[in-house]
Amino acid sequence: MIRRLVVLAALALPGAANACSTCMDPREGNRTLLWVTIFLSLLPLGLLASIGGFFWYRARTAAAVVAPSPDLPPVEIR
Amino acid sequence: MADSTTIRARPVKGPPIIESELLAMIIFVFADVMFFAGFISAYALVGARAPIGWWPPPGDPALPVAAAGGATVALLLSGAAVFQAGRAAKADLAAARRPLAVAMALAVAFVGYQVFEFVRLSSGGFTLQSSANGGFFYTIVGAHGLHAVSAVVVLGWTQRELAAGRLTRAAFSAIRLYWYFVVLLWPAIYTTVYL
Repeated sequence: MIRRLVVLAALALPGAANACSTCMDPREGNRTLLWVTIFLSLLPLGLLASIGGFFWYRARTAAAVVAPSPDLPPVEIR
Repeated sequence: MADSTTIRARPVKGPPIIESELLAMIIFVFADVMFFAGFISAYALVGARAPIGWWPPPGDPALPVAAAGGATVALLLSGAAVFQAGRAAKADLAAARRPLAVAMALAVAFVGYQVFEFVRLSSGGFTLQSSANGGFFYTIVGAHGLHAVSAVVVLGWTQRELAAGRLTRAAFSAIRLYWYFVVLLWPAIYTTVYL
C-alpha cells in the first residue's frame, strides 16, 4: 500500500522525485553533463576500436610474413 | 641408393600477432586512460556547475599558465626524443641510447618543475583540502606526476638494459607506448586544469 502511494506521489510530482544530484544545474542551458556523458560513453568504445584495429593490422602483417612463397627453394630430405 | 623426398619449406607457425609485454602495456594504458578521463570529466563537471564567477573558487591562486606551458613543451620534446629513439632502434637497439638520454633529461626537468610548483602552491595555502579546485588539481596533476616519475625510473632502467644488451624489442615497444601515453595525456590535463 505504501509502495503504491509512493509511486502515485512520484507520478503526480515528478519534480520532487528528481534524486539525481548531478542533473540540477544553476545555469540554464548548461550541457556539460551531456558532453561528459557522451565523452565517457564513447571513449572506451573508441579505445577498443583502436586496439582492435591495431590487432587487425598486426595480424595482417604477421600473415604476410608467414605466407608461403612459390619461390621458396626446394629442400631435399633424405 | 638412398630414398629422397623433395618438399617446399613452409613455416607452420609465424611470429605472435602481439608480444606479451606490449599487450600488457596496452591493457594498462586502457585502464589508465579511463582513470584520468573520469577525473578530468569530474573536474569539468564541477567547474561547469559552479555559479558564474565562483570557479575557480575565490581565494584560490592563479595557476602559472606560462611556466606550465614551458614544462608542457619540455614534455612534448621528450616524447619526440622517444619517437626518435624508436626510429633509431629499427636498425640497431643500441642507437636508441642517445635520444633516450635526451628524453630522460627533459622528463626529469618536467618532474622537477612539477615538484617546484607543488611546493610553491602548497606553501601559499593552496592545498588538497583548501577547496574542491585544490583537491582536483593535486589529484589529477599529482597522479600524472607519479606516472612521469615512474616513467623516468623506467627510462633509466631501459638505458641500463640497453647498455648491457639485454633489452628486447618487445619491452622497448611497451616502454615507448607508456611514455607516449604520459606525454600525450599532459596536454589534455593542461588545457582542462590550467586554461
